[in-house]
Amino acid sequence: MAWYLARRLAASVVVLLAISFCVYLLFYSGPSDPARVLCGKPCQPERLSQIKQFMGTDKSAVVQWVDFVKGLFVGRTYGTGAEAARCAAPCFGFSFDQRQSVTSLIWSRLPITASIAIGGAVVSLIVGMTLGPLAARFRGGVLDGLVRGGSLLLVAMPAYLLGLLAILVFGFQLNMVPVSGYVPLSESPVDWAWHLILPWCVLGLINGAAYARYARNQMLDELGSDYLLAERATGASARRVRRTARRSVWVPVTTLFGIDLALMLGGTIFTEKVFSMHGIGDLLLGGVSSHDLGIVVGTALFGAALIIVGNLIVDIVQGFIDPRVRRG
Amino acid sequence: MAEPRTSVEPALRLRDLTVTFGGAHPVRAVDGVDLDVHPGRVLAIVGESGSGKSATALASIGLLPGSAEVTGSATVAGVDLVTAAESQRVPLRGSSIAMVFQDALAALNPYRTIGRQISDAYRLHHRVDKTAARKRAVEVLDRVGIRDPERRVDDYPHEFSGGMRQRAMIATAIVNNPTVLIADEPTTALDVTVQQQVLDLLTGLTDDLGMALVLITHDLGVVAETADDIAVMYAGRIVETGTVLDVFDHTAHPYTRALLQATPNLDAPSRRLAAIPGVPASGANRPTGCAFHPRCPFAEQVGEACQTVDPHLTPRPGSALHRAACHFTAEQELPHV
Repeated sequence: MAWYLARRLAASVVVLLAISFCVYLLFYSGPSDPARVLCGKPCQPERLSQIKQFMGTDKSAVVQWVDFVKGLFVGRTYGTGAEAARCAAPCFGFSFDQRQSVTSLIWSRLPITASIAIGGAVVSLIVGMTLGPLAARFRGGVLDGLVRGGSLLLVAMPAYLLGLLAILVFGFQLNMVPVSGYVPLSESPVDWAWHLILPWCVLGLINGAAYARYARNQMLDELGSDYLLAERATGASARRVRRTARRSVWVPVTTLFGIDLALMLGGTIFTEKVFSMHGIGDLLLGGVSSHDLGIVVGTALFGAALIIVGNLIVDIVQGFIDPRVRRG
Repeated sequence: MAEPRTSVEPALRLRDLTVTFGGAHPVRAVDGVDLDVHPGRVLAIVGESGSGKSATALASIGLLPGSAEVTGSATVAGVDLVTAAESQRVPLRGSSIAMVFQDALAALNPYRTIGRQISDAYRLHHRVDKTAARKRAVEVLDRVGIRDPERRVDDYPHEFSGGMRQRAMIATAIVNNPTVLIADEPTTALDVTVQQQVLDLLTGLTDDLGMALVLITHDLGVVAETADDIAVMYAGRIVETGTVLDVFDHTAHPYTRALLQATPNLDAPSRRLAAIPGVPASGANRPTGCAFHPRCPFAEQVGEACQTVDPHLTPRPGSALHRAACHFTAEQELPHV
């Protein structure tokens, strides 16, 4: 297991570096020049080269990337003298617009996104792992039909549509829950949860619907397997055998779950927009519309890093669920 | 090989066991099977694919899927597993009647250690703590010939070789000292060299534990070496049954003989193996009269009876236990070829 972990960890670092390089190249070779954006109009050439020097974009792309990676580990300083801006490690870049490091911007938005993401993930897991095995158990029945039909609908439904529908029904028509805004957990846990309940349900249902489908199919595959028949032959009851089968259901579900959670932590763009919450998705969206490349690169990389870490955790968890994975 | 102990109560008694798989076109997989398996003896059920031998096995332990309709009786420890409620069957499985499956890799839980699986099976029928169950698992692994069981008990199935996995599955089956053990093609998936070891293990356990062993196989070589009694199945019915000596030396059913001729024999002078002409009949396309008649070399000599009249199992002259269902040999021996 230790060896397996070490290999996975080493591979993750390599992938992360490669991704950072790609993200960096992609954005900085695009048509939008952040220096020009900051320079404004009219823009004198001397002023532009000054800004480029300040941002570090006067160097070659590879050097810029090396600077960026170095910044991730030891931090970096933009410019010199009185104007200098310090970006502490891990430096995900700098927003010259807001004169703040992207790291601190992400950090300030993270509680909101994390609240949405973790709550949504918990709901999705509960939905998927309850409905999936239940549908499998009553295969062909009414519940199974409902789960299959409903999950297909939900999997196909975009989060913003379901979100808007939820706001319309539970917010305006029934007037049960607040439709927008975020209240910090430290301020009022009740209001916090109350404001988040709709986004949780929206994300939880959409992701949970996918888990339910996978869980149902995996459960059915598993229930037809020899090892469960063999377990029954040792005198295990049908109920106990179903419990055994449920363990294997975690294998496909954790794979999806890890990626989904990482994706959501990296910014739930649509959900945040629909429910007017200013999380990382909102930060990214703002960065894109104001041509703030520092924010775009930083949040994109942050999201990529989360997915890689999420994958790593999934691999570790699967190593515990399925011993055969550890050799792979 | 011991003499048949007819006086002793059989460990497993099948009477008129019939299995029908439902649906729009019901298929009778097993059709009126009567069998007795006695403690300490090995009964081999032999037949081609689709002859109903595996369905017979699963019906005996009450593990056929709900889509199968089972009638007749399969009595173990005084309980008829066909009619009994599931709550009555569950405690009998594993303790009175246990089963070894063909593909041990598929039949062992890949997520659990070998020791866990054996001790779980033990704890289903014994109120002991985990330590005691683990001790028992080590003991049983040792009994089935796993070297260094103290260490291997914590291995996962994928860490075992094919032969060891089959031994481990036998260990889960015998951990509660069952009175009947059903082994469904236990050596088919194994290397030839390992096959013999596993068969020796099974017969050794049969003697030591006084179990009744039902060995399901299509390999007559295996039967000759391990079984005491044999039941040959064709299209869901038993067509010939008796002690292995009787059936092999005084073969009464043309199908049995065709099977024997299709089996390679190292001791006999080399000859071409005879294939059985035609396709095997099954419950889905059962011919009228004797199900074997379209493939039978003697059907023409007998005439119409083979196509119209269903032959019953009748005792052979000189041995009440040796019975065959054949019009041609009803009163005579099968001619030598």
